[in-house]
Amino acid sequence: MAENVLEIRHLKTQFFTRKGVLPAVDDVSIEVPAGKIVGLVGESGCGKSMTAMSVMGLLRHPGKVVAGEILLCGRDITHLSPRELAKIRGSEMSMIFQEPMTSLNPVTIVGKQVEETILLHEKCSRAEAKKRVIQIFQEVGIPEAEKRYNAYPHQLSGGLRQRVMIAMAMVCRPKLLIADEPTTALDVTIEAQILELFKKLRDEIGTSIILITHNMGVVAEVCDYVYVMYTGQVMEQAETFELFANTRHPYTKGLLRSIPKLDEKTDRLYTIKGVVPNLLHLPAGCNFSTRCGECMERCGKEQPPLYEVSPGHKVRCFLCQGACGTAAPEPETLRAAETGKEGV
Amino acid sequence: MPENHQKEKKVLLSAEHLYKEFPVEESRTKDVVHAVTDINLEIREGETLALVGESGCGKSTLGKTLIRLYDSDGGKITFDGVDITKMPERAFAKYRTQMQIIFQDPYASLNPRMNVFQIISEPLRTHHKYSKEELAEKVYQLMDEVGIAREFANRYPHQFSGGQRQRIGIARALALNPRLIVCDEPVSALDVSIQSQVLNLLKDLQEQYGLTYLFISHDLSVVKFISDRVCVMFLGMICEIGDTEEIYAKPLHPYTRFLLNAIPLADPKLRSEKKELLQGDIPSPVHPPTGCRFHTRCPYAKDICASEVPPCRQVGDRIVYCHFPLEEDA
Repeated sequence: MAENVLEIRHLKTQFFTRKGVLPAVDDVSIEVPAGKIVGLVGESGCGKSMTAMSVMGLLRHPGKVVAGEILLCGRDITHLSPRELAKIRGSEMSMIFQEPMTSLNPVTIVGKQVEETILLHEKCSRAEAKKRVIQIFQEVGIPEAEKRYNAYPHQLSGGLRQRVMIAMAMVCRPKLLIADEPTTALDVTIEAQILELFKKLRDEIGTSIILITHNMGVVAEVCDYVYVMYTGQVMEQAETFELFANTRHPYTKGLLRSIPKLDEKTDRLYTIKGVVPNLLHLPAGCNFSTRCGECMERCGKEQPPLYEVSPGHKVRCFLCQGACGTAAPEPETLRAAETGKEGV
Repeated sequence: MPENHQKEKKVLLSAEHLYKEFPVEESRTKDVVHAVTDINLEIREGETLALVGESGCGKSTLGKTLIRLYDSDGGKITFDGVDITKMPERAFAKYRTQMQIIFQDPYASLNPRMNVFQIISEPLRTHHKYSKEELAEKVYQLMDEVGIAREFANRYPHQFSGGQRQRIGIARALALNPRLIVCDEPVSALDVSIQSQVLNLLKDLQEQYGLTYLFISHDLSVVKFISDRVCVMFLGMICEIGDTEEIYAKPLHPYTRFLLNAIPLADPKLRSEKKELLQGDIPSPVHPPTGCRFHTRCPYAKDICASEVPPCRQVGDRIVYCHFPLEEDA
C-alpha cells in the first residue's frame, strides 16, 4: 500500500459573505497516493478550486477552513501560520493555474522567476541556480532552454508559458503538484503535449498530482483516481477505470452522457435539466435532487452519505444504499448524523 | 446517401480567393498578420458547416469577414447569388438582416445596461417599424423559442447564468429571421451540462427555421455532433473540407489526423493506444512559413512542401490542400 502524500479529511471551507455563509467545500475527504494523478472534476462552482486553495493555504477573506484536517506527508498543515505555509509552498507542494500569462511576472525574464523559487527555499549560489533552471527547462520540454532563460513571458506561446509554470512548480521537487485547469486555455495539440508531461513527471520523478479539470476526456486520459464534485461535495469517487466502467451516480452519468461522442452519431445530446443551484440556496436533502432524473421522495429530505459500493468506489446516492450490502456507510456522514440518521 | 443530398442543395454563401490582413500596429515595418489567406469556400443552404482549427488559425476572422463584419482585403463573397463584397452599406442592409452572429463570450456580448427586452428588440427596432404591441409580441415569442421565461424580460444580463445569457444572444440573432447564423464558439464558455442544452437548442432551431449555420469551434467532439460538413483551417488557410463523418473516419490531411488524435477521449480504455502527437507550436501568422504553412510541424513534409503552396485536390466531395494527402498510405 503506497503511502498517501496528501490526505484531506472532512474538509469544510466556508465563505462568510454579507448574504450568508457559502459552503464552498462541504465535508470533502480526498487521498492522494504517492506517485499518482488524482483528478478533481466538476462544473464551475463545484468547489474543486476551493479545495485546492484550502490545501495551499491560499484562501482569501472571507473564506475560511472551518473544519477538517489536511495532512501533507502525515503532517497536519491545516493550522500552520502564514510563515510556515510559505516555507512549504513551492518546496513541498506547489500549484499551477489555468492562465499562465496572468501567473507570470510580465517584466521579469522567466529564467529569473524560476530561479527565485530555488533561492527562496534552498542555499545555493546564483550560478548553480541558473544551471538548475536550465536543467528543469529541458526536463519539462522547453526547446532551446538556455535561450528561453532570458525570454519575457510575452515572447513565449501559451504552451511554453505553461511549461515555464510547471518548471517553476517542479524545480524544488515538491511531493505534491496541484494543477488547476492547466490545459483549459490551451489548444488540443498543445494540451496533449502538456498531459504527456504530467505523465512523465509522475512516472519518472514520482510526483503526486492533483489535476483539477472540467473535462472528462482529460480525466480519462491521465488520472489514476477520480473525484467527481458537485456543489462543494464529492458525489462519486473511484479508480479511473472503475468510474468509467461502473458509473453509479446520476450526476456522473449525466456528465458523461452530455459530452458529444466521437464514435457515435446522435441527433440529440443528453442534458442534465436545470442549472447548478446557488450555494446559498441549496435544496433540502441531496444537493443534486433538483436536477436528478432518478430523484426519489427521500432525496428531497435527507442528505445521502457516501456509500462504498466496491472497495475504493464511493457514491453519494441513496440508489447505491443496497449495493453496499451490510457494510456500514462512511462515518463521515456528518449531516446525516446530525439528523440522527445513521443511513443503515 | 446524405452527401449526394447535400450536393443538390443550393449554395447560400460562397467565398473565392478571400483575403484578410491586419496591420501589426507597433511594428515600424509594414508587417501584416495574414489572418485569412486565399480561402475558397461554399456554405450550402440548410447545412451546418463547421470551421475548426487551433487558436489563431483565423477561423473567427474568416467568419466575421464572410458576413462583412470585417472588410475583406481581396477576393469575392457571394450571398444568395449576389456579389456582396463591395456592396455599399445602404444596399447591403437588406442582406445584413439575413446573416447574424452569436458570440463566444455571453458575458461580453450583451450590453450590461440594457434589459433582456431591449437587447432582443434592438435589431427589430433598427430594421423595422413595429408598433409597441407588435414589438412586444415578437420579443416574447423569441423568448419562448429559446427558453427564457417571459417574466424575465425586465432583467439585466448580470442576473442570468452563462447558459441563459447565451440563449438571450441566440434570441437576438433570431430576431430578424436570418437565413445564415455564424456561431462563433457559442458553447466554449459553458459548462458541459449547459453546453448540451444549448447545442440541442441550436439544432432544434435549425430544423424549425431551416437555418444555415457556420459553426466555429475548436472542440472537435462538439463539431462532430452538430455539423454536416467540416472545414479544417491552419494558420489562415484551409487544409481540408468535406463531409463530417468521412473526415472523422478518414482524414486526408496530416494536420486533420493530428487534431483528431489529440482529443482526450472520455474512455480510459482507449488510453493505452500509443498516440502520435504533434510537436512544437503554431508558427507566427506575421511571417507564416512558405509553401504549405503546416510543413514546419508536419512529419511527412518534403522539399516541395516548403517551396510550393499545395494545390487544391478534389477527392469526391472532399477538398484537400496537401502535396501528399494521406489517402495512399492510410
